[in-house]
Amino acid sequence: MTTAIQRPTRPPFYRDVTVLKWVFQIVFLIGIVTVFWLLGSFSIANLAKQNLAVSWDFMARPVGFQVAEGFTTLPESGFQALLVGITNMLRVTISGILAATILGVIIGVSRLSHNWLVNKLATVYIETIRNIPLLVQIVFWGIVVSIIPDIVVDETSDGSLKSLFGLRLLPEGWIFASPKGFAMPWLVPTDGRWQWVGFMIVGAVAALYAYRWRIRLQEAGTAEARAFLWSGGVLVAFAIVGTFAHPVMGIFGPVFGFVAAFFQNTPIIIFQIVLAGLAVGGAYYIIKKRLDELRTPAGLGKLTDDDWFRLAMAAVVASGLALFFLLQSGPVKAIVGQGTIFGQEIGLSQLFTGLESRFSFVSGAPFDFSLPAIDGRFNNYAADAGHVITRAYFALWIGVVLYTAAFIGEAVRAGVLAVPKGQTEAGFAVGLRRSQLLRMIVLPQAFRIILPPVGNQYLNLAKNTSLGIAVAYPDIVQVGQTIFNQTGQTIPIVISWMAWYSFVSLTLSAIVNRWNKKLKLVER
Amino acid sequence: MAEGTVFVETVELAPEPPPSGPVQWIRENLAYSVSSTITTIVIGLVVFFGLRALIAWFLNPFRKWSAATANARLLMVQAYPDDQFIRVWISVGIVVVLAGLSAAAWRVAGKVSVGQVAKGLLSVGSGALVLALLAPGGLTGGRVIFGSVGLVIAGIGYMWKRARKSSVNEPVISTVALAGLALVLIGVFLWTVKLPVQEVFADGSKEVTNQLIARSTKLPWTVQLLVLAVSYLVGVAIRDSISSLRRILVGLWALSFPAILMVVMRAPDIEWDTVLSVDLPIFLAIGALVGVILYVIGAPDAGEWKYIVSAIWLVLAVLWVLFSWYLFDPASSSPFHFTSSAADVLKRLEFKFPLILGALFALAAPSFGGARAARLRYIGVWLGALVLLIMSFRLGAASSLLELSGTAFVGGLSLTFTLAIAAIVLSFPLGVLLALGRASTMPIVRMISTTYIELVRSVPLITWLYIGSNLLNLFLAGVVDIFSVVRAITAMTLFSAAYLAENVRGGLQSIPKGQYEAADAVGMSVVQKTVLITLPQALKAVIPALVGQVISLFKDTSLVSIIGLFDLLYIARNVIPGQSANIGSILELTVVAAAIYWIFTFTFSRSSMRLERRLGLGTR
Repeated sequence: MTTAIQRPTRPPFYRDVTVLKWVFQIVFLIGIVTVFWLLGSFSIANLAKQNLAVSWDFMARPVGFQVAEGFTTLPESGFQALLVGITNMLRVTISGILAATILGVIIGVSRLSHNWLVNKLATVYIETIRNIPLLVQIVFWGIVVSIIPDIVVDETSDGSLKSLFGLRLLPEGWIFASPKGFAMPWLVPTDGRWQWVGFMIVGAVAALYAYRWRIRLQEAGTAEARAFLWSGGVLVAFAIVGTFAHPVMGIFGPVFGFVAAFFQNTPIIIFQIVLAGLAVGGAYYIIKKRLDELRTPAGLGKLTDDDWFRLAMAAVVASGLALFFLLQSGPVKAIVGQGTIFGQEIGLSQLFTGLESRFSFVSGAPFDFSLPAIDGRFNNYAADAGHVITRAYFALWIGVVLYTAAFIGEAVRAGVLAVPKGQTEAGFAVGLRRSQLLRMIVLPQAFRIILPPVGNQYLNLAKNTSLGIAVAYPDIVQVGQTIFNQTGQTIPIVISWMAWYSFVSLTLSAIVNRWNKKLKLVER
Repeated sequence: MAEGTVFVETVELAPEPPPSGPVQWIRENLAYSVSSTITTIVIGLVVFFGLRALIAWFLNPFRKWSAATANARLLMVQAYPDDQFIRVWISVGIVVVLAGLSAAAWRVAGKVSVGQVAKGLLSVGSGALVLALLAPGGLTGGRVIFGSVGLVIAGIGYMWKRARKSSVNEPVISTVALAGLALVLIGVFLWTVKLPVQEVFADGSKEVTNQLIARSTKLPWTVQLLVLAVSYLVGVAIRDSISSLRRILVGLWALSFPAILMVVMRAPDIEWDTVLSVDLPIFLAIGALVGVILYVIGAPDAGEWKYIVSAIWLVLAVLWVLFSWYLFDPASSSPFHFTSSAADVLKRLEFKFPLILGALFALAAPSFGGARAARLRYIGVWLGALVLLIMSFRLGAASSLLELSGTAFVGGLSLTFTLAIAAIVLSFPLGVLLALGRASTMPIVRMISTTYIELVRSVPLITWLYIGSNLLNLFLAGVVDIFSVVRAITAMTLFSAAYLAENVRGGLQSIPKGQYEAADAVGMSVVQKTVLITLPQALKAVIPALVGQVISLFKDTSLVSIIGLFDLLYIARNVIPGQSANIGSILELTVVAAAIYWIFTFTFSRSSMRLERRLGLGTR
């Protein structure tokens, strides 16, 4: 017996959900575009009233101000000034993340301690720090730093520290304090440092292999792993040997020179074709992957309008990019280093030329131990002697570290508490001590739970460094603000801020997601 | 049964009570192993010297705490005119009345066991005693009183705790009685306790006198305490007879914020003839017309024409607003030449926004209409919304009667609260819409929402505040002159909406698929499904996250001090230390500001924890 298959009749277009959906979306898109167009035209008209036009010229022109600290204090161009801001922001972010992680773990573990005093101290710390705005804390530390010298500095000397109970903890002349900041001894990098860093990269790869090798041995049952010990030992060995043997890396100099010449001399059309090809290939890969996902054993699954949209977007974006690369040689030239961007030559070719000059054979130690020195009156520290932690840097750094550590501490505590109790009991049952239990059983398992919130905190820390503006720390926000106060170019500066912070956020979350994926429990 | 079985009589002995007492406590919590003893001693020494140094710092006669106490008014409300100061007290009074009524309506009164009270007394008293003993300089003067009061309290607590053990049934005390006692004590302290205050005279001489803690505000605060007690009692009296008291209170809370800000604090100059000759006719005409339309459209029968008519209505109304706002300014012929103030724009838009609101109500009418009673209720909601809309236009357009020294009528802590409340209230609908957009099946909407959320979240707030304070004027200069506080609120709203959207999205993802399928099965429309099924569950699930966001937004308001708004931090950091009498008091004032922030944030976070427990979240 056969039954007639009733084909569903399509409803009229004004009742068809798909049609209505798309009509709504197109109207919505037009509305958004209109609003932006209106805002844009208003701002251009308003700028024209002030005889201003949106322009990026300031990036190439010299700026008329001094930056308080950074790799250079007299930037040659707006671009370089922003670059100083970026490196300053990274300095605080990276060292802050390291310190906040260490402190946060200590706080988190202390909050779980059975010792009443330790436990309460950690609780008081968290409840105090977490409930006071970070900005207030940074301002507070900024004021505190400027009065510390009154307390710790020996009045008779030039800024050197007092002795404590008649005991001098450090030799005289090692640490100075003044309202401008602290100066301390430092390993000042010299010309050989790049080769040494190259050496250490090789060392890191070797350490990774050592780690895997030890793990393999343990899994085979032949030896106890001690993987961290081994890989750490390899790193230390490389660091020591590298101090003397780093000129070996000089052989890479000519290699980099060759690469630089390649980028400089190859006709630009070849790079254009390669980039366009990459764009098209990427789109092809994405579309194919998506189609494969949608494929059912019975053949290609039914594509919804959403799927069609995604595939079409991938194709359109890729062809747009490919056309852009093929028709516009300027950006491609800037990328490979045959042209300029914002008046700067900062392409791949220049990168490798720089590496070549830094890797060619240089002898001597990569670092010099240097003591701080006073230059003139009122504790003006000499520029390249020792290391100076400025007041602004210290206030911002200690502020974000203490603040983030409180949140990391809470994340660590939550993660440790989330490890099933049976794990702890089993650990005690096989006779582990409490410290061993934490190190070998609880923390590795808690790590998986801790990572996502802590990654979020790292992101917050990176963004919070922008509060350094309250103590005049020259990060990208402060430098950008100075530039737009001078030139009136608000829109380009805002775009640079957004571009930089989006880049940082995307990079950090990509790293955290990668780790997260790696640590995920492999389930059936 | 086998012979020779021996029956042994066993006596059930009560289990021996675990050993207790201070020594045992120390053995269990401070010195349970060699390493823990060493840790305790080392940390204890650090805490001892640290606390001692802190107390010494606080009690140092060189500290200028008087900079904060003498400028308490500046810290709270900036330079609010003296002759109008009663308005500030009325605002506080409104909040106090609502708080008292709400405490009664939600029956916050509970029972607390005597043991807990005794324990609390013991720890508070011994804490005070320890502080008095630790203070460097020995027990002299006020420290003796402080320490002995602590000793007495601790003693009462300890004796009470010991006495409790003998009784079988643990007695309980009502928390209301405790709170009442605390209020009475506070009231008495206001009138009796004196603290040394250092006064600096014009000729540079200083004098230390003992003065009451709140010497100029003791009367208003006493009145507020009384009002709190009375409103609680009134609430208790009426909570059983008025069944919808809670709902009314929620509405009053929602209205209280704009009412305080726009009416009480701002003192608007309302032209009553305009209200009678313009607003009332508009309200009657549009209210009645749209009411009739809603009654027809809300009827329970199918028909696309309702949606089509409402949509055309909405588009026409929006276009009318856009055209009259942006393109055809009656004062000038060129489209890019405006000289209107915000008040003018508001006046011109007064007729048009009610039409947009009406169109929105008409669009949603088929979803919420139905039987006659439901339709009438819906029309009631419409009329209420219309009144609020027209009133806010009238109040926004009215000029203020205050003669201010600065530009803003709120400053200090009240600005901090204004920013936080306005931003969270305004960002709530936007955030929910963004979350729905990101979770929607419409790719373009989803793409735009996702881009917005991710872009806003990846850039720090201070950047958005700069964008608000610089770009917003660039975008709209000449169209509307936006007040600096409003610019900050706009930036914070747009910023907070993105974070709120992510929280709400978490809630949306936690809803089981069956809920959607069930809603589809009973034939709900998309709007009904979202408003009646999805959102209530999603929002309930993310209440803790939302409270967390309120807390972080409250802390984030301090950032507006960087762009030069006179909030609590700005006044503490830049204004008061600039007064000639208070130079060099910046550290003290920063500490005071930190303490004020801390008190509020800590209270919020503790109440959020209680709320979480009450809702039973996280325990399922």
